[in-house]
Amino acid sequence: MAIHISGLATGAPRRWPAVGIDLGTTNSLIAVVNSEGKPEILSGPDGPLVPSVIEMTEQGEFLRAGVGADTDLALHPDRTLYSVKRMMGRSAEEILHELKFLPYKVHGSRDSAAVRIEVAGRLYTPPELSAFVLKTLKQRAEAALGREVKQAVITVPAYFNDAQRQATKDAGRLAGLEVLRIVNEPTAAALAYGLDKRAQGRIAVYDFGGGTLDVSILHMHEGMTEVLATAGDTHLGGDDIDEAMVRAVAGPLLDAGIDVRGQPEVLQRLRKACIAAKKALSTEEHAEMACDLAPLSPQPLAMTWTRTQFEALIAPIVRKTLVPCRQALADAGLQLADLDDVILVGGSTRIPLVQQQVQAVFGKKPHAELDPDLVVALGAAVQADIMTTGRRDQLLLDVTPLSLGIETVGGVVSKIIHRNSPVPASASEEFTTSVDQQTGVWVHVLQGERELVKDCRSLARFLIPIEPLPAGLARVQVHFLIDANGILHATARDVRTGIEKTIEVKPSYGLTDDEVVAMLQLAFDHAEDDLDERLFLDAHTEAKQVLAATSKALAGPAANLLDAEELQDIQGEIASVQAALATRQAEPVRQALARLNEATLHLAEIAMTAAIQTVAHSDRIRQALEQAPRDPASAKPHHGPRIG
Amino acid sequence: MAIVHDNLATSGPPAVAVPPYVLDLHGQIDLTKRPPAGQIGPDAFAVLGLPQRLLIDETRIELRVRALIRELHPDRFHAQGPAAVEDAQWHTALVNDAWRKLRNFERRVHEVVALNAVAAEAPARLDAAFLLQMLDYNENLDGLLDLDVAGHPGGELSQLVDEIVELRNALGGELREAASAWDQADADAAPAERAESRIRLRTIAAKLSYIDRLRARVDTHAAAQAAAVALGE
Repeated sequence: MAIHISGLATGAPRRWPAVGIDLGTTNSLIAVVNSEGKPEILSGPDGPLVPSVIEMTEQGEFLRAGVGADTDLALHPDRTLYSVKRMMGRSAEEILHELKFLPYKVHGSRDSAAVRIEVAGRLYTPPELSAFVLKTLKQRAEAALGREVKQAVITVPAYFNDAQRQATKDAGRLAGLEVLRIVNEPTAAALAYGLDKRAQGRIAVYDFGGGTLDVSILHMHEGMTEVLATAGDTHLGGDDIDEAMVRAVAGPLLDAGIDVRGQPEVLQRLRKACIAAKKALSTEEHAEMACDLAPLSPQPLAMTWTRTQFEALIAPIVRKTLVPCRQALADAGLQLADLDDVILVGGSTRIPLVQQQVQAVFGKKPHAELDPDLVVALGAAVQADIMTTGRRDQLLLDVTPLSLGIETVGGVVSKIIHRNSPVPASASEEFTTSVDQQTGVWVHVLQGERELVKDCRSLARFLIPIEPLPAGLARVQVHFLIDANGILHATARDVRTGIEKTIEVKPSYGLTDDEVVAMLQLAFDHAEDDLDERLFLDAHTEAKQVLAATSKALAGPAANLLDAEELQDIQGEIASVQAALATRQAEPVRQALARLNEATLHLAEIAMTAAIQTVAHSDRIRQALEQAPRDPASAKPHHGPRIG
Repeated sequence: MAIVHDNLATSGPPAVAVPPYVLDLHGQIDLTKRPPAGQIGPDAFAVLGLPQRLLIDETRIELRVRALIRELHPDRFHAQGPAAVEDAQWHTALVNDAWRKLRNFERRVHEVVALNAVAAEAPARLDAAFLLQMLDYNENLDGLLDLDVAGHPGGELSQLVDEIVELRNALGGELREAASAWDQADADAAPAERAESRIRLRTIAAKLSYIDRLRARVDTHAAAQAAAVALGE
């Protein structure tokens, strides 16, 4: 076995590792292809998942995202944001409709197509909020790899429309990442399975996540991963299962005079309890569920779910997921017998009923060797690697999930690029004027399968400037391009003069390029503040833990063994740590903490000895202790893992 | 290997067309030329470097498309900067678009008819007998579809559908004959015969679109019936 030198082995040394990111509704993950060519998840001390939760300070400044922020969700629901993915590229009405119990305000704006979310008095666009999660992931990767991370492949549900994809790309840019490619989640999963040739030939990917359902049919052959068709439902996910469970419990509670509907905190707890029961029911036949109902009732809720009950409850939801399965297969022009493999993706596919139904509809036992929660991020890392290492034997060819059309007379949509067309895809249309001396033509671009403008999704409106001529004489050809990311571009050309014009495509819902640039500038200006704030937060977390441990030790019997001077010292240092915290500066906190640690050395030693004596009644433990080196430092309060 | 290659080369028509862009004279891909935006989708055959033939081996077209996409896909140009990626987007879109237009026989017919259209051309003239037959079918269909909704046994309807399918098959055969004549004339570079077989192609294609509209009516009806049954369950 030759000595492996990374960099030399791959030919050209890579400057920065390109990562794959699964930006999820509830959790996000980051992965990278390691020196052995295998994708791996970059885990933190709390495991692979980074909760897609963002916590703001009372002043509305970014505090933290991921682990920690999620535990504060119940504590500060008003300034802790979740499910931001559901807001991406959406209008204010859509967001309000989608997230009924939002504890924060959503603002539309006259000057911008992007909505703003009000948190503790400050306004954020969904891409900015997602960028906080992406930054947290980026930092995790940089800490793990010891190198700066600048490029990423980010995944989105296959059924995301242009605005949602654009918003995701903007979020990447705002997080300081160059987005190499937006890849559809089921496609990424197929890449991860295809890597070791676990799956080959014609494959169905059934991706049932937290908020969306995607079904894709792919053909994997000779290094090409070709998507044949995709179908799905953007409003069907594990959340609907949770919701059904909460409803099933809330009904009888209401009959008992306990109305949880107007109580976001109780609802949140109930939801958590239901989710825990749901997870347990994937492996158990019964699941106990308990939930504190305070302040509505002093009695906590205690009940047992059976799997039969659970399956009866969710059967209609699962049945709904089978419709896109049949649709995708038909769109791909395949028969059941043509399928070689079926892949399961998304946490909801752990439910046995889901697995049974998928097997029944495709007539094949689905693959589930790779963790359905991790497989998308792994596949994204594979694609990032392919794109940055120039592996010419691998290529990913995707399709657009929705038809692209333009508004014509009478509010009717004329389709110019049909759904399931391979991307990049282009189309061109010629426009003329209807009034003499008309100086421009408005073009309204829509996405969707329906006939009427009002039933489709408005993507953009733009004005094509036209030189004034008698009506019908001007001829302008507009070229539409859906790029490999599924994002729309448009250019126009005057047919008579041959002059090309660039058109600014103003998104109907989302940020313009100028807005993104302005936000980046702002972030750059605040970069130092952000860093200071982060350092302070780390110190703050550590200080809280040390203070808690110290007061616990002071309350215990060990404190009696300290002399008055020592006790006074400790009290004094505690006060100075608290004073330092008030400055909101990292350095004073660190210094005060170091002094407090010094002052509590003796206390810690006594506490440790006392602890040892109480447990040392067992010979085996005593032996173990005698062998272990005695180190008073190890008795210091445990410092939590540092994030960032 | 060599034999397979020989087969491929002789089974289909030779690739003689000179594509205006993407491919150079030798069939090599010229990446320095960005197709003028105004020419997106003019000649799907030329984009793929194929002659305007209708009865060609579809797997051959598919292999050509694959080979082109492998070279042109924007993912390949990432290291060369955004301008190269943008060019690649348009190139690949062009190939994808061409593949969509040529992937089956009837689409190729439409492409050939459209590409060789004469300026200010009148719509295809169909014989009176055919048009009367269509009117007749349409009226029959009106009555039968109403009856079917009322729960009438579908015997007469399925008989009518069979008749329509038969007519379509017959026209499909005619279309292939016309296509064969077109291919021959194109290979011989005989402009007069080309024009004549183009008109035949156009007429038959127009008839087929009438029939397909009838079929669509039946299919929509069947889908609505199926949905009603599913809802009733």
